[in-house]
Amino acid sequence: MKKYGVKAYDAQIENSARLDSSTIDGLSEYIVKIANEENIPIEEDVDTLTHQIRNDISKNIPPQIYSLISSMIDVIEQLEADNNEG
Amino acid sequence: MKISHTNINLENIFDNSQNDLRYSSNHSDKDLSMNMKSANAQSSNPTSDILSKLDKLEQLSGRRFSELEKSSVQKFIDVKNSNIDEINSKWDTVNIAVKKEIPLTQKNLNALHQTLNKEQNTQEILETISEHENIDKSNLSDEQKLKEILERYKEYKKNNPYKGDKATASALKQSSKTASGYDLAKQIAEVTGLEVYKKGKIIFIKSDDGNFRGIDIRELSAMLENSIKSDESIENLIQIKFNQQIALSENIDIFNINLNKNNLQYKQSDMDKIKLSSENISEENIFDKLNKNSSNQLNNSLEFSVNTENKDVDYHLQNQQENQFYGELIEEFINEINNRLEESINGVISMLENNPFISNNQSDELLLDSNFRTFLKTEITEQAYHAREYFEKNRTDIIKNLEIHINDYAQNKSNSNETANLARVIDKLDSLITSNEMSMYLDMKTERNCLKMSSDLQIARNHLEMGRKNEALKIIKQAKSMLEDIKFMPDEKSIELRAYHRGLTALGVPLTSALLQTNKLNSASQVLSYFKNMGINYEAELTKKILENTGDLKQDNNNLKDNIKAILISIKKETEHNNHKVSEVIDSQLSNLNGQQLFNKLESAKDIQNLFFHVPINANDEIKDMQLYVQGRKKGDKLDWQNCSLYFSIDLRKYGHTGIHLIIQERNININVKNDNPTTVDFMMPAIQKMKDLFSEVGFSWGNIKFSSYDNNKIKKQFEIPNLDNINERKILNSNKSVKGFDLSL
Repeated sequence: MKKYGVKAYDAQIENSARLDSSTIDGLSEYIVKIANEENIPIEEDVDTLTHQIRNDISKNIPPQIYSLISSMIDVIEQLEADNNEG
Repeated sequence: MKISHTNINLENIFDNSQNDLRYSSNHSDKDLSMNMKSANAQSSNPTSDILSKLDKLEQLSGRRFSELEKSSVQKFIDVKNSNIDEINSKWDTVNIAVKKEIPLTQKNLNALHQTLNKEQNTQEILETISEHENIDKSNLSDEQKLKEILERYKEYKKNNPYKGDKATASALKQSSKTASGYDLAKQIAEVTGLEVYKKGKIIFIKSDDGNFRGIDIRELSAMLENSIKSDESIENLIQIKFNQQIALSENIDIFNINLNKNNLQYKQSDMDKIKLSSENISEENIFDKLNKNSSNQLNNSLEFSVNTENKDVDYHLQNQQENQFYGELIEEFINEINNRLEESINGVISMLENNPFISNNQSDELLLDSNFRTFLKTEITEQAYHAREYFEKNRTDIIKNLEIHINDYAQNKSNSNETANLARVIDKLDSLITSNEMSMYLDMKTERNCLKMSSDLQIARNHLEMGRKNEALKIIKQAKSMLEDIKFMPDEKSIELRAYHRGLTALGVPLTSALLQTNKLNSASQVLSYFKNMGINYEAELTKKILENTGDLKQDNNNLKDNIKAILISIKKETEHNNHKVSEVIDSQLSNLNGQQLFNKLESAKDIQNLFFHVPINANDEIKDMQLYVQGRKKGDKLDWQNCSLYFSIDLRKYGHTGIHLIIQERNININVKNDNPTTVDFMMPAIQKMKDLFSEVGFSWGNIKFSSYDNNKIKKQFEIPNLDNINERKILNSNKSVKGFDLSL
């Protein structure tokens, strides 16, 4: 396996959503190592972690979708409030 | 490549996805799950044929399962203890895991199954967390850390005395643990030579101006570490922080103060390491930032590098007058924030007093301390200031980029990267809503404006892709002028809420609990924050931080851990460490979160992404679970919001099971309401009218409304393998019986 230092990932920092399977290989091990050193709780299953790292929902899901969700929450909560009166 | 989905039919999206769900088509026309279903139905002895089904699955999917995977599936299906419905449902889960190329471990399968079939019980999670007294533990560990660092600092200072230290080396030599225990305040007083007292998680230190000013324990730990690293006296570092606080809270001419700070004899490289905000707002020293401000934000005084990567931005300061003007703008902003804080601080303190998590005497002492009020005000002003910084920096970049488009067009220059550039501008605009820096400081109106601009620019991008430059340019010009007109000013509510949250962390209450209890998810950024607080984006955020923070992670450490998933993992590890049995609640809720993440795995090789979320609904003092499926095309890794489909499913107390399906084609929303209540139309129409208003504000248009029955058993599968033709439409009230469903043009 390749050795990964922090610098190897500098290019990825700009946009971690662009991490693809070739560059991410080994990153999970690195993250687990750092997290353990720093006493940060983390999923230690490397395969699972790889998926989790790649899917940054603040980048992969555009804010329009979150906006739709918030509008729906608003409407549904209103319907539940109707419930009280009924 | 030109995008040719202008007239895309929604069914096509689903047809694609349906193909997606099938396995090597030369084997079978039928969907795998259907095969499995019929196999199940026909089988008289389901125990014996798991392996043969797996063989079939291998043939269909082209994927080879290891012996370990096969055995995991057997254990997961657990034929002996499951009835036929459970077995079928578990096979569906196996199916999804195979489709998503998720390793078939028992843990993964259980997690997926859990999240897709069980509710997420937010209340139960909160109770579990408070039961485990995580609050006290996190307090203890922060203090423990500070103690360790204090010892290291003293050791260091013994060997490297610095002339300016008020605490002399000899005094340090004499200092030791007191007989009555380790008095943190006393130890800090000894190393700093300053007057100190401690309340809650705040250390109050006497500043040069005679006032006691607060520093968070975590932050003080970091400052001590930085002091060792940079060989700078801790007392000096504290004083710099206080001077900056005074500048912000008293609104002295910040621009000039800032310039005067250049007299301080610190190496810039060391200063960069010093993080002044414990709320991880900024990586940079505020003075460093203030210095940059003058060049960062004046649109007209900037020279923007046309570098295609859009990151090598050269800033060039033009003249002093503009600097002065800029300084006045900041002052005005800070003045406004201070005023708002002044008005809301009493409310914040009483909110804190009434928080059920806060009960001990020490907290009361802190809440009554007037220095604590000053501390809160200063912290929030600082945060708001950083949020403004982030906003202005991005605004400047976006405007400059849009100007490039406009100028290129005016000069008839052709730029082959223009669509890619515009995509980056949109990303940058979106980051104003989605970034942690801005979280909760963007008021709802500004957020909606930003969303509208993002949506408009997306339309401009579509035009560019189709070669319609004129149309694109018109939109770009409008967006630019709209962005120029926005005045960034956090609203009173968000300032108050932020101060409240800061107060909670000062009292040692995990922020997440507070956020889950107090947050109304009424904006895009709040919905995203909720998912982040649950920990669904934890690993991605952690990785970002680790990659950005090279070796300086300790400071963010605690903020990073303040999410439900991290807390649950901590509790689980600690329980296991003490050889106790991990409670089912913790296991199942962790599984649930993991399952959501697994299901949402980025399907990079495919055009279609499927996502699943549990969304909280506040109803009569309880938090209900609403399930949300999202399916859509992707542009790169990003979901295409213009062409996607969202299905919300919830059991409404009065109206029963309700499904709301939003089908979006080219930004046009068709809605399908699924409910069996006879009054569906009556209660839904006002709700739909409201939705229509909200959606149109952010760039969606409105299509048809359909009502149909709620197909409880098949609904998830319909979404997984949707076939909208099969929806059993109902006759609505007295409308024409021959019409299937009906259209209501709003």
